[in-house]
Amino acid sequence: MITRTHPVAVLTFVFASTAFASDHNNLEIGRPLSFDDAYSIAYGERAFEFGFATTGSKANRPVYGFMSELQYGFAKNRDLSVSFDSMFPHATTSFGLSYFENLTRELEHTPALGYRLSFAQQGNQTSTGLTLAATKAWHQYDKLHGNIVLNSRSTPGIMLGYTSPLGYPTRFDTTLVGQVGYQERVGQVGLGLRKQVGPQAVVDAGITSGGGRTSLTFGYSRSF
Amino acid sequence: MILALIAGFATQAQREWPAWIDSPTSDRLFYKPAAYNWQINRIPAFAQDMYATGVGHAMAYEALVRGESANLESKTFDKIDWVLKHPPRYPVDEGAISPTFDRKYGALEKVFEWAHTLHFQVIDVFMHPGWTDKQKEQEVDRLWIFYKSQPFAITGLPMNMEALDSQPYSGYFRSHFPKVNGLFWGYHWLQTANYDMLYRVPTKDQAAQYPVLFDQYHKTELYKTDRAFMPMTAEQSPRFAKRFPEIANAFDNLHMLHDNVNDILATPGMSSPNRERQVKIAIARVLESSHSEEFSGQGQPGTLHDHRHPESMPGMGMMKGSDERTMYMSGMGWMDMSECSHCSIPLNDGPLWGATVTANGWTMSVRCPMCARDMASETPGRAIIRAATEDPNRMLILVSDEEGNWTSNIPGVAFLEKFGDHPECSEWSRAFSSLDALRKFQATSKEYQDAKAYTLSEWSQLNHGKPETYRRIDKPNPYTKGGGR
Repeated sequence: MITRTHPVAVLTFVFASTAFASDHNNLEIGRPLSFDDAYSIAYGERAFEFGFATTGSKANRPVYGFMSELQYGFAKNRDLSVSFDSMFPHATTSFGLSYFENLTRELEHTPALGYRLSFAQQGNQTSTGLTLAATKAWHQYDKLHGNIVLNSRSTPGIMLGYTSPLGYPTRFDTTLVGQVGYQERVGQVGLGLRKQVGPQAVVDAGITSGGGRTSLTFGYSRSF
Repeated sequence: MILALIAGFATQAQREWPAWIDSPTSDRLFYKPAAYNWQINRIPAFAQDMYATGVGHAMAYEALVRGESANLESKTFDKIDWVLKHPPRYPVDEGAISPTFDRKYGALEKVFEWAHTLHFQVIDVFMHPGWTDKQKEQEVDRLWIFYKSQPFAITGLPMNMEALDSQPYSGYFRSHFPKVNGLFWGYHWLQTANYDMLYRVPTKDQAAQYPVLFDQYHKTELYKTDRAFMPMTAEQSPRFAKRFPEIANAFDNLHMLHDNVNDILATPGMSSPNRERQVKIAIARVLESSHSEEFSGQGQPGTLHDHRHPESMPGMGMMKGSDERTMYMSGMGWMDMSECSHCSIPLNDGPLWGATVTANGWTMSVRCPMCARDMASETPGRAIIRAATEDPNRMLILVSDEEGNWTSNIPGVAFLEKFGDHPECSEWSRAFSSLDALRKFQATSKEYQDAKAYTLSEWSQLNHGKPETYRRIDKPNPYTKGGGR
């Protein structure tokens, strides 16, 4: 049983509900924080993401994790993803599958809406989840992303994400991301950056804190 | 009056667009996966200029939709101009720079993005090293089919540009916002002029041409406010437009859609719902699905279903005042695209197709290297000549400096130029990939056995001036009231 106090659980939380993708202009949000935006990757797009995370506290030894995920936009507004995570020193691995569907883009008076169905297996434990995602503009260029996270093995969580392009109108390659939320009975705050480093490649870094633990994440995403 | 016409037209046209235009879904599409994608970055300055065109489009649309048109020619222009002078290293999502526009005109953004994807992928194919010209052409044909498979595709049929540009709102943007309109037409110049720089040109010889285009784009084309009409693909890349007429037409129809949208967004007094309706109608006018069962070369003259084209150029619709042979070209006057622009003798098809000259923002087809050289010499500034040689797989690329000194992509290029009558100029003026190749030709041709073989520097010094056969088409400028010439 994964408990909320176990560091692996915290790391799992860091990896959870991701919509990692390097949309060709660096705006598909997901890395490095855990919130989802309401958009799928493009139809026909394939994306590979690789990430590293570490979490620790004064009381426990640090835990490290590697994750990789492959996504495919198999239809308009829909994508499928498969992910593998490995965590050390507990030597746990997990496997995940998810389906995401964007229901509507953002219109003048309504937010973009989407949902994710997910399945995860860690050892002999399985979980299923549903994430509801909404994305709405805030001021001219910033966006707010609301998530309600339901999971068969935990209490419901909520997450509010924020994205803001840095450098407009002279630079177009960096996005600030932030989040606050409550999940696994733990309050969470996070801050990160995504930076485009190629036509289809993005690197990211983020820091998340909650429940007395701090997690750092680093990642690389590439579409092809 | 204008508003009444618009309202009437809108009522009549309601329900005249496909259902997907009203769909609230995002429908983002990815480009065709392939090894050639992003080869555009092999010429970084070109790639970055192309990326900046997307930023320029988006910033102007965002300003227009947010009611900032009063600042369009000042603050917005300066903001865009800064980006054009400091272009982004990577492609930029236009939707991210114009979020307000995107929320309101999402269907339009789908059409724009999909066509811009075609723009980029065609460039990528031509810039992909390791493929033969034939492989590249086959892939571009496949790209066109891939593009057409989506409902957002713009028709590849030639469309009557005068009909498209005769809406009640047409012309408002260019007359009231000439500087920003100049930027739009500058982007469209670059987006169309690049194809002849790349098509059938060995990848190693492509980059050497870009400085000429770069200078023209940054110093002149972006800031032109006196162009009579938007740049047409067949004007800027005649070889490409002839080989890929559907793609050339789709780009022109796309660029005309931009002009229509600019006018709709800028015309004052239109209600927001009416603006949205007009944009949908403008989209529907140029969609592939709106012209199914219609054919190139046919159609009722002067209508939205007029798909006639100049006889010799299937990659261009009819223009204002044009007939089946002649058209008015901004900066050049009246032209007959079936004739050599220098000597007015009909152009050749086939392996000895002649040459093109790029100078001062235009690209013209000529019959022979001599016509190309002499035409280039009439124009101040740098120039590019692309000419056929005896080897159909080896195009000669000559690039000149400001003083008219030519450099060649073929170090041992040799020229035959036994001056005679112009109707036969493509016989006695030829380029060869080597002296040996010229000698071989001379061995088989009695007439040219004793002709001098010119090196590039010797050939560059020749000049036969304006040929007697040149025929100026003397008709009034159809774009000027009162018919200036």
